[in-house]
Amino acid sequence: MAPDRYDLKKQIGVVFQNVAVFEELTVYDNINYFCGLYIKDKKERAKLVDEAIDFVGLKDFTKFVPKKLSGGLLRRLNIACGIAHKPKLIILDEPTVAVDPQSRNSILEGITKLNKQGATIIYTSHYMEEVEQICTRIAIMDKGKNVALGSTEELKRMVTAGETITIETLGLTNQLLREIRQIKHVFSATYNGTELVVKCSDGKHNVIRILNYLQEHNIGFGRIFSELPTLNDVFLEITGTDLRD
Amino acid sequence: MFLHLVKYQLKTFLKLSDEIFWCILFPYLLATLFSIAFGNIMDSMESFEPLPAAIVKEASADKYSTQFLDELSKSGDHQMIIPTYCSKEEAASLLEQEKVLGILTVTDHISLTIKENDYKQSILKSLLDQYGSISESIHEIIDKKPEALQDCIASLSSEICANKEITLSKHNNLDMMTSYFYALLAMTCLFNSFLGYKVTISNQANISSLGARRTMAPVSRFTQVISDFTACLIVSVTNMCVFICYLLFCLKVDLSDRLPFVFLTVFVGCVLGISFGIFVTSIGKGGKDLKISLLISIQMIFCFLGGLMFSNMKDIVEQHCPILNRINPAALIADAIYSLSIYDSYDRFFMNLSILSGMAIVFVLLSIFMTRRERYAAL
Repeated sequence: MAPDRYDLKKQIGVVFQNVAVFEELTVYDNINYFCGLYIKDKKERAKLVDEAIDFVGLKDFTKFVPKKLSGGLLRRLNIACGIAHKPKLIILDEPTVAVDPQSRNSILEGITKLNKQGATIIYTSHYMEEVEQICTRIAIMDKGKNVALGSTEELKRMVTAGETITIETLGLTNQLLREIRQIKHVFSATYNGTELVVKCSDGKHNVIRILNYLQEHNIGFGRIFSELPTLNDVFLEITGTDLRD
Repeated sequence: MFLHLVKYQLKTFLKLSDEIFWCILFPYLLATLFSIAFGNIMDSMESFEPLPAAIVKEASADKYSTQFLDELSKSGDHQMIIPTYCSKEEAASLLEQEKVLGILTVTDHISLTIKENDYKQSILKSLLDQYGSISESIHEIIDKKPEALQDCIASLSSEICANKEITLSKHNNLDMMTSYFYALLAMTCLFNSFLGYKVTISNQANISSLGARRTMAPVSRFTQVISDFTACLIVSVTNMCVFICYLLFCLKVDLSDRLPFVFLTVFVGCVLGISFGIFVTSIGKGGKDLKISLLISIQMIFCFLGGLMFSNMKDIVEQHCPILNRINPAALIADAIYSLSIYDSYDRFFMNLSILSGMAIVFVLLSIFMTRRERYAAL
């Protein structure tokens, strides 16, 4: 997009990772200033600013300057400045970083609401649970490249680890462990003397098959856990576990 | 849009920040300190307190010497000494207790006894030397050429000076201290570059998140730069006007009798200061710290060469590298006001203003050129 495509820029709202507001201006003035860069009409602008203030719940703080606000309130002000002009496309860059759980919930609910009101949201985050909660289409980026794209379910189907089964058991021999690895859909099995951890690819009845096998060989067992893969597992499997810069 | 941007930029200036302190409050502090310091110097240069001295008249006291000391002791504007007539012992005691600066012993001549050798004692000694020299001359004339005595006495009565002070201008009202205030005005104009720095930082997407947000807005870079510039100019010119009034009415600094031209100079100075700040901040991809350091360093060099720290510096530069004085904004601003105080003609004044205006235009154009259509790989 060329820097002078003002027609396109008018349709876009950006919420930056770092809070981007004037330290010297009040909450109301900040929102009014940024809204004024998009909306010339004063009456329309005043209405939009009030709506944005209501939307992020800053009605009681309109005369506060940013340094008097808590981290959560500041993030909400940052969002209000980015969305006050009712853009059709909103880009949010990690808006919930360093925010308390209540504010995070409030922000995520707000984003969902904006989406329901018709705005397209591009949401970047390292918190996979947030992504899973609010995103309908997810792109995983690694080293500047798009490495996977799809819905949550589609992404989960892309990875080999379909289900992780953990069984508390004693007296499992190496021979039995090797045989468990041969069971259908099982692609890895590890045993530490008290816990058997089996990873299965996508498939049904994995737990029953493994329990049947243990019973057939007279191996007792205690508690059983079965976990489906999370988006975090998907992310780690796709991008690897090496530390990033 | 333009007015919206100007209005909010002005609002940001109303809150005290580092930049506002340096631009607005610091010059007042410095001017007040200058005034106090120079006031003390002038007072010490102008006021003379009579010197306390003990006078011991011996039996052989000369009539003329006694008369001479009586003249020096006469109260009034020309009183030089505060005499204490006493005996030799009392005089020694007074000198010991430092109640007098010296003992003047009158015989057929006058001798001086001092305890310390300070400038006040030097004044006493100088008085006596002058008296001794004149009386010796008169004695010599009486001995060798008595007919010339009348002329000699007449010439001694009138003040002889080989120099005559004349003025070539009706506007010559410059004293040494005022040139510091000219340099201070120049510095204050240049300090407005901090305002230029502040607004430019908030316009650069790669330096501040505020800049990133403003860059995303559907407002042209030209409108943003010009509106920021206008807001800076309103603040700086208002401040300069108040500052000049402070110098004139509170500190009683005699800037010039052509005040409208002084205001014109600081207006152009403000334009240059702001555009200079915008220009330096627009250069390269360096961070905030680097840019502010660069700005302060360049300004300090300009002010030093312009005579803020040492009043003769401008003359030294003029002798060794005159081109520096033609391109140094601090020197140009100070010189413009100086020329108003010295010359009847406006040639030098307008030449300085033309150079300043030219530089300001170049700085603004280069700033716009450097920042317009700038693209960023990532924000």
